[in-house]
Amino acid sequence: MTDDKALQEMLHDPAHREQGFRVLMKQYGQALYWHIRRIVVGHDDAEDVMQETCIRVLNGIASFKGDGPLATWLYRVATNEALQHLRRQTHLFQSIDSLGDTLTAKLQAESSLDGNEAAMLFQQALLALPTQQRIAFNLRYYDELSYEEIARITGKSVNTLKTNYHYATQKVKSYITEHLTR
Amino acid sequence: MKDLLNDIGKKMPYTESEEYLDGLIDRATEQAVKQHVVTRSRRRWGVMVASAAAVALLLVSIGLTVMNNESQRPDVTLQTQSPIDEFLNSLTDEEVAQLPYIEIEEIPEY
Repeated sequence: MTDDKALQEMLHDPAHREQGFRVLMKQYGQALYWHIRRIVVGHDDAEDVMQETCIRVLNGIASFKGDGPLATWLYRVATNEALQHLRRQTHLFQSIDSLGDTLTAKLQAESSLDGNEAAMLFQQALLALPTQQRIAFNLRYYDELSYEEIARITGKSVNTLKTNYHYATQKVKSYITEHLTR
Repeated sequence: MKDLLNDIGKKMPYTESEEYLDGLIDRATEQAVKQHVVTRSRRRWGVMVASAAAVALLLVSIGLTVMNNESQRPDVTLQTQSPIDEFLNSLTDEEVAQLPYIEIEEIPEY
């Protein structure tokens, strides 16, 4: 693990930027991939967004001021790219929140047959959430980030995120309860 | 809910192998580096083209200014010759004949 400060120095030095970028991707690549995959769901979609994210990161690294950890900046770039990808799948005036059914269909198509049924139901419950709530929930639950870090990534206030997480948990709970009793 | 979450853990209903993920990340990284080099050289070309265009524009504007000044410059030749021409034209043939005739050799050198 290269420490954040050393990595930032490498990335801000044009002579070592590409080398630094390779180290950065080795360190955070998998975490970014799974964050993206949880948002866009599809295997091919995640691959495309991962590629776009890498390009954005390398082209934008010079503008990163180092006012926070590199990881949160990377998550922010990846989140924006993933949301952009979802927006491209919507029709005119359609919100990305209405993509729940499309994403659920992708989830069902790509899940392994011997997959955990409870995990599948849990994912379906998450896909029924509004996108911003889903992202906040994912970052908190899967990536175990603090509310402050999530606030830096999403641009939302800590209080809003706490409320989002609370509502998301409630909705997931009632979705699972409802579908388990069927 | 807690029990269910504990049961699921952080499991996803789909998986990807380590080899696939490493390969994907390597490919995406190298593609980004390649694209970055292209973008950088395009940007450099853009700056060069813009600089050349600026220099060409400067030269053209200097040329136009010079030409404009040339056309506005008072015609010195016309002004210096005009009074003599007027004087000569006003003379009759007899008066011209009376003008002292000086050979070019007679003009002293200074």
